[in-house]
Amino acid sequence: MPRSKGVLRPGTSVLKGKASTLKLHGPVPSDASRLDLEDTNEWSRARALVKPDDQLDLSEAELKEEIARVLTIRTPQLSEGLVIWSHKEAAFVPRTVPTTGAVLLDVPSTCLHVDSPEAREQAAYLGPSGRITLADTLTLAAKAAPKAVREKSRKGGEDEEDEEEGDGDGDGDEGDGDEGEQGGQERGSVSEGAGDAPPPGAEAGAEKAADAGTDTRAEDGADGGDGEGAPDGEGAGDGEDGASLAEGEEGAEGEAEGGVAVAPRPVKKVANQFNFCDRAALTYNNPSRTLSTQTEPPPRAVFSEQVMQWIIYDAYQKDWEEKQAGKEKEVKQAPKQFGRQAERKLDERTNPNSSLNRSIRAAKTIERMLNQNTSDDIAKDCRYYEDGSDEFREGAGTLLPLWKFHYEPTKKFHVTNICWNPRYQDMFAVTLGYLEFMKQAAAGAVCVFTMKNPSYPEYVLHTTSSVMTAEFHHEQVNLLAVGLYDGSVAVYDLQLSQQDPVFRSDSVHNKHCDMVWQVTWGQDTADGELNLYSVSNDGQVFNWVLTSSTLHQTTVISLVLERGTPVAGPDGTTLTITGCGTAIAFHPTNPKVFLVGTEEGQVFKCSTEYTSMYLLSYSAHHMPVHRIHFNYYLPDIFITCSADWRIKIWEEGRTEPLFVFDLHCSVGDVQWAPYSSTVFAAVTLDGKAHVYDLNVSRYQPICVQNIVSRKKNRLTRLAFNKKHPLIVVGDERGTVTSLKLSPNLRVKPKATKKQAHLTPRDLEVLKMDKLLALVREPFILQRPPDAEQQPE
Amino acid sequence: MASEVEETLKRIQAHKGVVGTIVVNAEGIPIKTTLDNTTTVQYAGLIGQLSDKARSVVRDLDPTNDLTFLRIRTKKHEIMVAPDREFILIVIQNPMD
Repeated sequence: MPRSKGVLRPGTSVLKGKASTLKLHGPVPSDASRLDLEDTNEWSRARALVKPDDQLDLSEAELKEEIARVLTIRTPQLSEGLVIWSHKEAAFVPRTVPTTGAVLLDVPSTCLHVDSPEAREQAAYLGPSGRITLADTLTLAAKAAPKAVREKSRKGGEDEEDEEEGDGDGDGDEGDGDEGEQGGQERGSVSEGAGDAPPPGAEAGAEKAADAGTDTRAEDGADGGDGEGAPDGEGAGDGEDGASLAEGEEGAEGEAEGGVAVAPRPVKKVANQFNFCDRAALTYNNPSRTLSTQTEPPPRAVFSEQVMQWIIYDAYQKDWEEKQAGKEKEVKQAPKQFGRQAERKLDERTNPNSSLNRSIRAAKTIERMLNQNTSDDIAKDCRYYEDGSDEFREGAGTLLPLWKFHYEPTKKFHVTNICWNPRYQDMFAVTLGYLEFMKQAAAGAVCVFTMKNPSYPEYVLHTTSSVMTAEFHHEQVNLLAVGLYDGSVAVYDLQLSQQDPVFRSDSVHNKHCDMVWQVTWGQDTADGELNLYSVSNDGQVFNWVLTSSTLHQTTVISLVLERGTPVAGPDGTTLTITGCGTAIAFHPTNPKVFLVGTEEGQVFKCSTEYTSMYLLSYSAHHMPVHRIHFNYYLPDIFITCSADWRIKIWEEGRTEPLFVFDLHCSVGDVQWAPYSSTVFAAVTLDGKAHVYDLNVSRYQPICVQNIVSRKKNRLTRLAFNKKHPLIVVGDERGTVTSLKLSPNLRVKPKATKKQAHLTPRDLEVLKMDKLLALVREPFILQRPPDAEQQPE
Repeated sequence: MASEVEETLKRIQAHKGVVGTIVVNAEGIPIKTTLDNTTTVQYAGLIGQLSDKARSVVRDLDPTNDLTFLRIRTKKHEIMVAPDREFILIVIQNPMD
């Protein structure tokens, strides 16, 4: 079929094409409907046939007439010419009815079926040569012309009204289609008989009829496909004369009648059923392949955290510190590169927050806790116990022994000196060495104990020589000055917790020639440098200034025994004999004045400003002076003790002592009590501690107590705690015993009503003054030389 | 320095009435002990929790404050705990001895 327009044309009329419908597809539905009727009538026939009165009587023929029922897209009930009132135009306007059809597919094609009449006609035109001759063209044009005219007129109508055009067109089509079909059927029967025989005229006519129904476009396409030079229907129609037109009309009529208009021509053998070749190629499909890889899963972690107030606080604190650190870094970009490593090393040791130091501190604290637990009773005694028997003893007291401090490796050393720390009231330094000078060992130690841990010293400093003395600096309490048996002086910094001293004078030129008996810190220099004084057996008093790295030494005074009188030597030379300094004490209020005791028993009052002369010379003792100590309340009163068994109390400026006490044994040490102006304590070699209160008795001690066994041990040194009623006593076995003074040993003066305004300190001064007034000898008035006795 | 800690711990262990010494590291693993295994693990675990809790209490009351030591007095013993960021030192003492 040349027409492949798969459209159900709108407006296909049932009634108009009833003849063709009857033949084509009418019978099937109509039969069915009639059968239906008959079926229904069968059972009704049994009964009386009821007819409405007004039923139309039909003749037999009319009854037999078959009426086809065709399904159409047109609504037959829909009345035409519907109008609707338009308010806009104020008139009735035709109402538009929605179309009921739709074009689904519209494909123009130039292909002709080989068996179709068109194809045969075409083949006839082309002739055996396959080319179109002029005559062919003319014939074709003549045939096409009337159709073209008709098409043209129809086109014009189309523009005016679609609906109408559809109807009219549909009529033609319907008829054409029917005829075509008819022709096709006929042709089928003919071809059955004739095979390849040329198509009969009827077929050609049918083809023509079908042709008439085709679209102009389809026709044009067909013509174009026929060959070159084939004019389109319109042009042909215009250019041809009336004869050819008439001929075309005639031809068309003939065709409709089934006549043969075109002379049969030898049919060109077509190789293919269709006159076209379709070649398709399929490219290879790329084989599909399934490829899968597995990526490494992203790292996962289970995280849980508790948030407390302090955690937030810590985070902020850390952030703040980081910011500060960043700022500081910016400020000092690269000030000094060298020495930083050393600093860091030092930091590791000194930084109190390094984990090592923290662990040490934790361990030490635990140790103190253990000691507190084990010596709980002693600690409570120390704090709270007061000897109740004192109430019944007038003028007598006792010493309560508390802890004993000792360090196992220094068990055989003698305690050569004891010094309390001025700031930490529970800490004291014990120097250990040998007081027997014939058996000196090349070792010594300084142990710094604290009352909180009697079992082990807080710091231990080992030295290569006996340590004779030590003193804490009064302000920088971590600095400990040490005097050694070999004549050298050293300064330790306890904060560094290292064994080596920060300052040390042990070169040949920069030290004493004999053992250092005592060191004491002086007032800081004008430049703020620390300095200390040392007194030695070689008769020199040195002043040491702590510069940045070294100890700078100056000689303060040489302890020449007899000024200006050199002693004749055995070989005729003369030499000055110097005393051996053993003790030194600075005046409490005048930092330039100091006293030096010697082995010869002399005590020299010197000034740091005069290196060649003494301010005063006391013939104090007959044996080495072991200690000179100024009273805490009266700066002019001092006490000395010596190996000549005696303790003497002096007033500055008086060459005679105010009090003399004989203890019947070498006195190792004597100290004024810091809490009373009249109390002092002394230790003797026989292992006794003596406590005197001048206010109670000017002749007898108020307490004498054996501290260590007389046979085995001897006491060497003693020190008062500045705050608590405690003394510590050292012996020759490296042990230090702490003792608590009973209430009678620390009686405070009671203020009378008149003295109510005085401070306790004033009371103490008054108390001592009262005593001194009794013993001070009045100055002897020298009788002025008699004028009469003057030589004439 | 490190030996100083060792020495102190040795002294502590030699001290009168000390039952045992345990050092626990930051992860809660006992790294040094003088007690038997079971007791050590038990002490390390429980004391660790307790000191954490105690620290939390102290710091919650005042974030600028911190826990330094913890002493637990029991009928039989006294447990002394030094809780640090990096370690916990536990000493058990029988003060009645």
